[in-house]
This record gives sequence, structure tokens and C-alpha cells, in this order.
Amino acid sequence: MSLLEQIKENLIKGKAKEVKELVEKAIAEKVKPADILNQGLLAGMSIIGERFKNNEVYVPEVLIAARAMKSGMEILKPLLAAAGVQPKGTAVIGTVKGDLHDIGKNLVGMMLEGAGFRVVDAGINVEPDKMVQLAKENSANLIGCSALLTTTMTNMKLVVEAVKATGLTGKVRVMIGGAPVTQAFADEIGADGYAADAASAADLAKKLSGVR
Amino acid sequence: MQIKNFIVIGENIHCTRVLKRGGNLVDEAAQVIRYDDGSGKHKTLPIPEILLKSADWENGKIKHCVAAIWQGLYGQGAAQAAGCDYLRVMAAKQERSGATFLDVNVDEFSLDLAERIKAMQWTVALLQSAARAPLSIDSSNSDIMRAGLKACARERGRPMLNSISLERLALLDVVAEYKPAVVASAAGAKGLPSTVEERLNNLGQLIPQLTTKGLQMDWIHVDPLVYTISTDPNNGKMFLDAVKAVRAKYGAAIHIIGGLSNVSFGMPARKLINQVFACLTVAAGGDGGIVDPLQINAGILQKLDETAEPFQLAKALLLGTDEFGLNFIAAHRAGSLG
Repeated sequence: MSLLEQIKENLIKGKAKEVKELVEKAIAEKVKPADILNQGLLAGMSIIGERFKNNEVYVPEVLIAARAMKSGMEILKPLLAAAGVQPKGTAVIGTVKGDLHDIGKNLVGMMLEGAGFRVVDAGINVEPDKMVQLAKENSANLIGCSALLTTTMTNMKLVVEAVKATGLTGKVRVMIGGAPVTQAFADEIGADGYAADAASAADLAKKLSGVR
Repeated sequence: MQIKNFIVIGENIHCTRVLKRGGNLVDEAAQVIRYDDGSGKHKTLPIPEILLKSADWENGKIKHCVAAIWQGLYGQGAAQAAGCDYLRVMAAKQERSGATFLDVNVDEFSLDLAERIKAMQWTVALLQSAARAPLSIDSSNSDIMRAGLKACARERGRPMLNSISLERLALLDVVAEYKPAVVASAAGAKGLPSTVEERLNNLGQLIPQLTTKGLQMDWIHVDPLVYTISTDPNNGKMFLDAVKAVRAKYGAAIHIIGGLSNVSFGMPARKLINQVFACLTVAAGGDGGIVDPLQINAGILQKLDETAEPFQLAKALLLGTDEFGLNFIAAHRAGSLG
């Protein structure tokens, strides 16, 4: 098995220590940082995402895979920056104002990072203006809003409006998700996209960013 | 284990609940939901046109309580009768399984508040014609809460308000007006507690405000807040520690419950995890849960074999010794959880 295959396989199994060592080894063997990222770490996360979408793996397994990815990324990050490898995009994610649920939002964050995005986590109970401000500060091209309650999902509309009000329409796309959220609701409030689960959110983010 | 009383707040009549298209209970060709009325008789509930056009249906799901309430409210003839019957059967099943309260949540019936209020009023009236157990009015909106409590007939017992917390103190007026039993959540004014101390602090601020409004201690059902074990191995033990601490601080009269099934979100074999968690909750000093009475009640818990391997595996998961539940998941894949 090639080194990159091994990175991928160990990441899928959530073996953080092994992934870290293998990434170090790959760097020592002069494998290109972009290849370690794309064919090793992201390839592994993409398989985890697919399996999660199909209910073949469970939340803790996604968690430890994401942790393994992080352990590899920590070493890889400076090299990627030096080699001029850019993230696929930057997403500010948060659970909307009034809502304190963060499991779904955190899973989306993991999947976005696993798809090569930089993720800025705004946390829970986030004011619409705060989301937009963070998007500006980080030159984000995406805002991801999560809500678990019908009473708070309406606050997603405020985020869409805040994006408009700051003249960021077209520059920053808003994607939404959460148990009560639907495509119809996304259309109604003028959001740029809706994803039904965390893995689909990563696919949507790529689509909205025009990357593969 | 010895379990005398377990307060079951039956959580099934909830508009978020979905059935899967392609599952046994959904007949896609005939566009009906199948159910049996408890006597073995097979019946069907027609799925309203409006739900066949919904994104849920497209995504392979149907919110069955929404379907039943919609037919009951707006359906014609046999469809309308089926909507009512479906809910009556659900209520009767839960009551037969030992539900102390029947929880009603219509927050996802519609995006329109007036529609949701109407759905709550109608559903309360319907359920009261089907079951004797008092209702637990469950909503994140105070207008719906008020409408639900108002519709409850007091002679059948004290209804429940689910839930009040420091972030929802506006409900104190509703508490004062209706003197309901309450679920008192340990949520803070500005976020969820992450330690046992924060939980105690929040409850320490909330509970005196409830008793000031005339609630007795044994009307209060403290929910120390259950977080999912799949995202943090400490979450099970932290809840159990909080249960112990609340019992120690407030004494025997107060009730301690929790949305116990939250603990197993994202895990396989959820029923087993939930049942074992209920046992551990009782052992820690709790006396109830917002649960499915068909899966968790005093009788079921009493019969669980604590020495069996599946029980022990779930217990290790819940106490955080099987970190991230990897042994538990492996046992599930090997088919050894039963």
C-alpha cells in the first residue's frame, strides 16, 4: 500500500497517531504537500462522509476520523501555505440566534474541513450581524447556518438579509440546514442552498464555491 | 434492578417524528401510513396531498403525526376519521405502556404560528377524548404553550409545561396562571451548562422563582440536560453526576427526569443504550424521563439483566470507559448486542 493509501486508511479508522507519523514520513520522502492533503487526508474524509451519509458509520467514528485529519493537518499546514496551496474556500458556520444546538453544526464543520475548506466556527446563538462580520474579516465565501428549532430557523432569514444589506450578495453564499429546514424554506428566504446532512453540506459547499 | 416508580413523559406525539418511505409502515403506492389499532386490526391513514408534495417526502421521509393532525383538522370523511383514530391509538398505546404524561409537540406542524396554535388546541382536545393521562405541553413558543395548557381539562390531573428555564423566564406568567407541573431545564440564560456546577447554579436561580409562583416541589421535574455520548465520552457520566447532585441538594420531593434518548444520538442500538441509561439514571437518584413508553417504563427496566453483556457494553459506553464507544460499535457490527 502506498504511503498516501496508508494515510487514507488510517484516517478512516480514526488513528490519529498513525496518521501524524505517516504524514511526517511522506514529507520526509518529499511527497508533495498538496498530494498528501488531497490523496491522503481529504480522500479519507471523503470516504467517511460518504459512509456517514449512508448510515454505515456512526458519529463517534466521524469524530475520531476528523481528529486524525487534524493531527495530520497540523504538520501539513505550514508546508501547504509555503507551497501556495489554498483552501477550497472559507466558511463561517454557526447555529443561529436563539438556538443552542451544536451537534449538527459541528459535524458540518468537520465535513467542510474534510472537504478542504477553512472553517471559522462562530459557535451557537449567533447574531446575524456577527456571522456577516466574521465572513468579512475572514474573506469567507460561504456562511453556513444551522438551526434545530422551527422557532429559530426563521432567524436564518435575518442572515440572508444581513448579507444583502452589507452588499456581499454574490460574494458570500448562504447555505442552511438543520432538522426542520427544507429546500422549500431555503428558497422562501432566499438562501443559496440547503443540505440535508453534514456530508451533503460539504458537497453543496463545493458546488457553491465552484470547486470539485 | 428495583424500580418502583418511573415517571414516563411519553414523547411520541411529536411533529418531528418521521417514518421512512420504503419502511413497513409506509405504503408508497397507496400513499397511506399503516398502523394497527392495538387489537391487531390493520388500518391505514391517508397521507395528505400537501405532504406528498413536501421536501420531506422527496427526501424519503414522512412526518406521521403531522399527517394525522392535518387529516384530523382539514381532512374529509374517512380521511378525517383516520387522522383522529391514528392519534387516539398512539395515545392509548402509550398509556397502556405506562405513560404518566403524554407529551404533545406540534412545533413542526406548520411554519405559521396561528396554524400551530390551532393544531395544539385541536390535538389536546382530541387526545383528551382518547386517554386519561394528563398531557405535557411541549413547545419552544410561549403562545403555543399557553394555548395548550388552556385547552387541558383540569379534572383529569395537572398538565405539564415542557419546559421552562432561565432562557425562557417569560413563561413564569404562564406558570403563575395555570400552576402546571413543569419540566425545569438546567439551561442557562445565555447558553447551555457544561459542568455540574453550572447546572446547579442555573437551577438554583430558577427553582425559587417557580416556588414563588406557587408551584410545589413535587410538581417540579428537573431536567439536568442530557447531551449525546457520541460527541463527548464524558456526557453520560456528567448527567448522572448532575442527577446525584440535584437529589442531594433538593431532597426527596422534587422529580428528576431527562430527555434520556438524547444520549444515544448518532449511535447504533439506541433502544439498548436508552434503557441502560434509564437504569443508571434511577440508580443515581432520578425518577423519570421524557421517553418512548413502549421502550422505557418501570416494568421494562425492572426486567433488564444487568449482568448481560449488551447491558455491560452500554454501561461502559455511558460511563465513558469505552471511549467513543468503539467497543460498543464493534459489538453492534458483530451482531452481539442482541
